[in-house]
Amino acid sequence: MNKKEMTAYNTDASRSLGVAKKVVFPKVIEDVQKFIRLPHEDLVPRGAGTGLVGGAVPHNSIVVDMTKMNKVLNFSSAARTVTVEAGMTLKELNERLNAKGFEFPIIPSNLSISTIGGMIATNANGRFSLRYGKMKDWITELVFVNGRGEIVKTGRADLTDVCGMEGITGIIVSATLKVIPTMKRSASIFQTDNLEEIFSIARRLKLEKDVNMLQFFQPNVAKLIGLPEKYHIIIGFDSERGKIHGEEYELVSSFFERAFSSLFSENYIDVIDPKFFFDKMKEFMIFLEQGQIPYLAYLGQGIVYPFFKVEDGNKRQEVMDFIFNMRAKPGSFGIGLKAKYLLDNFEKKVYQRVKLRYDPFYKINKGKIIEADNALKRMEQVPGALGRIDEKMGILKNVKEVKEAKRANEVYSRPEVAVKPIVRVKPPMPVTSTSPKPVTAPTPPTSSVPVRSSMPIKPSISISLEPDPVPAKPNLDFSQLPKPISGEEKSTRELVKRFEREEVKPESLIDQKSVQESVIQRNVEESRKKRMARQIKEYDDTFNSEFANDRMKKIEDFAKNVAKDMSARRLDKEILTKTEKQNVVKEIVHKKQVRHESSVSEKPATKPGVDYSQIQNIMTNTYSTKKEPIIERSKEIIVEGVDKNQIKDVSLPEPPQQKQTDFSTSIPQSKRSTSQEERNLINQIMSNRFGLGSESKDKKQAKEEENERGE
Amino acid sequence: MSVESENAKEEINEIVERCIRCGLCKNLCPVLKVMHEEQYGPRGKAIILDNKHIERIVFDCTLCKACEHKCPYKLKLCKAFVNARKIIVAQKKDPLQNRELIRNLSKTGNIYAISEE
Repeated sequence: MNKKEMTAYNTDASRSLGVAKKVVFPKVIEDVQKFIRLPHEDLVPRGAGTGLVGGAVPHNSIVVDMTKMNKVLNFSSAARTVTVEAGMTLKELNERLNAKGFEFPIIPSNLSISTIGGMIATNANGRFSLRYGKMKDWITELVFVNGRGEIVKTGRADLTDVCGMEGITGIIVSATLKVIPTMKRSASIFQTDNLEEIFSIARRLKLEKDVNMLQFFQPNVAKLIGLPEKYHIIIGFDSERGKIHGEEYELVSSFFERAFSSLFSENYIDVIDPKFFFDKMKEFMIFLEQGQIPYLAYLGQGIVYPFFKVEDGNKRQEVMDFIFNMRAKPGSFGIGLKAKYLLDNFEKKVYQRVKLRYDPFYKINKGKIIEADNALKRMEQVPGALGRIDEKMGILKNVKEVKEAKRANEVYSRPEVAVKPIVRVKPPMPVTSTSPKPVTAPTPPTSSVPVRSSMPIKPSISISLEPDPVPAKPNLDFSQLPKPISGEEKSTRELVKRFEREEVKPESLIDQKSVQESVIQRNVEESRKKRMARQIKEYDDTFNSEFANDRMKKIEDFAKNVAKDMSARRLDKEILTKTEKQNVVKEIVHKKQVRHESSVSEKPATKPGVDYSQIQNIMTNTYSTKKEPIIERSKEIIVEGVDKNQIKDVSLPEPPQQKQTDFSTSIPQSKRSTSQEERNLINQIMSNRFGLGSESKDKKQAKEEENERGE
Repeated sequence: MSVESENAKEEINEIVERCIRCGLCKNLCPVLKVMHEEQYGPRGKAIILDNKHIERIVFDCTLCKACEHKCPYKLKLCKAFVNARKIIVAQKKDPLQNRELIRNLSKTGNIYAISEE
């Protein structure tokens, strides 16, 4: 799909624009899991895209189009249930069910285009919801995928976490729905010029069993459909009590959808769906008529649908203020992006908490129902999320900052590590004729005091001196100390200069900051050394495992070069015989072993007349970090024609002897067969299959052939 | 750009800018029943043409006029798609299968190149 073709997914029926990064079509549940587990910014599931509130609008996010998952998984007429995947449209479902004598009675007012996943997410209203209720009452089981990537199957107890949440908590995959057998229905119409008569009739009819529909039309709207200019109610019955049957009933039942489309064609595009109590609908209708705003209504549920044009911004604001003051609730469309004014603060908190349980990382449907600013704040307070709040450090937003702060914290708060103690150097000894006494380290105190760098360090504490185990540093010769300072200028600048040159600091110049800095530097250096060691180890492992072939070649080349050098220097380019060459190489190999066994500081064993300096350089460059004897591998290649028995210094590992494995021991004792025939059979089978045991396939075939020939 | 293609563009814009994205046209489109993707349906194509991208996906339409029947504005989407096809053919970016069909028609009077024998 091109980028230009992807612009088809930018919008919704609500006409609010977004930007789609990528579009994805899952066909199986595991595909949905994959896409949730990827690291990305935002996921937006989408069914048919006919929601009027902006629930399927992406905002730099990945769109998950569920319309390819549209199968019927199960149908049982005895239990009257259907299991359906989330991408199936209502029209197809009803067509298939009508062929078997059943129906699903919740039909929203959009010609049955919507998918079942969308209807579950928004808890859709239907035409007959006076009697049959909303979508929540018709679900028995639900399967959806978490914000963490887990497949969850819920019953009727946890339905509210998904149904009505508009895709915040997860992506719906499949559901089981209840189904009823088809019924014969009828209707009747009632016309008046008076609003109060309508309400009195509706109040009476609402309580009866048969009534399932109460639709209300205004005179302005009735004109568009083709009815006379009066107030109309269409009453639907579940029996044959009404006066309209058969084909006329189908006509009458399509009036509501026709009203929607006819108002659309007159440029009344914006729709709102506030929900009121029965007695307060009157006030709202009177208010709307004063403003000359067309509207439709479901009297049984209390939903009124006012329509606006795009240019009427002021009218819409007034109506919304009125709704907010009357404390109306969201009706059938849902909340999404456009209807956030209908929520209280308490309800917003409830939505946030439900979301944190299922989607703590804010991966799905950012900005819907809950504002995006609150989302970012919560993201920082949840452990495991991208950011973190610490009281000392303040609010952080990136992983980088968290890591840097962690590193800084490690240096300052390490109670276990004993800070290296402070040097208490004696004042410099005056130079005398006598030889200086060797200064020994004073005895350390009995208890080692671990000092934290954050605590104030008192100069009165006397702590012992321990020399650092670094061989590169030379030992202090106190005979080389400078002369004592005379009573001349004791300005700090001269003192500092003098001591900086000679790198000795007396007590007076010790401050807390310098000590801290030295401590920090040491810790930093240690960490660096550890890092280097780790890197070297990794390099060694890779070099061992991956480049084994090149390594052998390198050893060969190296040995040949060594032999050439030796011969060229020592014997003035005379041609050596094979044995002489081998002897030369043997000597080198022997000395290498000797050198590796001894310590680094000792000098290697030398032979007169041989330049070992170049060899050492070559060896250190290639094999500097290893301590394994190189002799084992070099032997196999370099040494030609030499018996292994002559070289007695090194012990080769013996080749592993293949033992006859008894596979019957792997079987548990109760099921173990005691007879030997069966054990032999088992051993034959295992060895035949996997080539294990003492005999492999080829050998067995060879033996069989021999046996055949012999016979 | 020739005069014909400019006229075609204006006609497309007149038709497509009135779409309100309601989605009532989706139920009856035969291409959508098979493909299940938004850009093959009438609403998706109208959005693409509204953003002034004339793409080759306009050729994936059967021109059955089922979407016009349900549209609240009764928009003539088939006209818009045919005009878009004109522009693409003028730019010589039409798919190769169409050119084969036309060649077969001129040779044998038949799309499948079956001679009268």
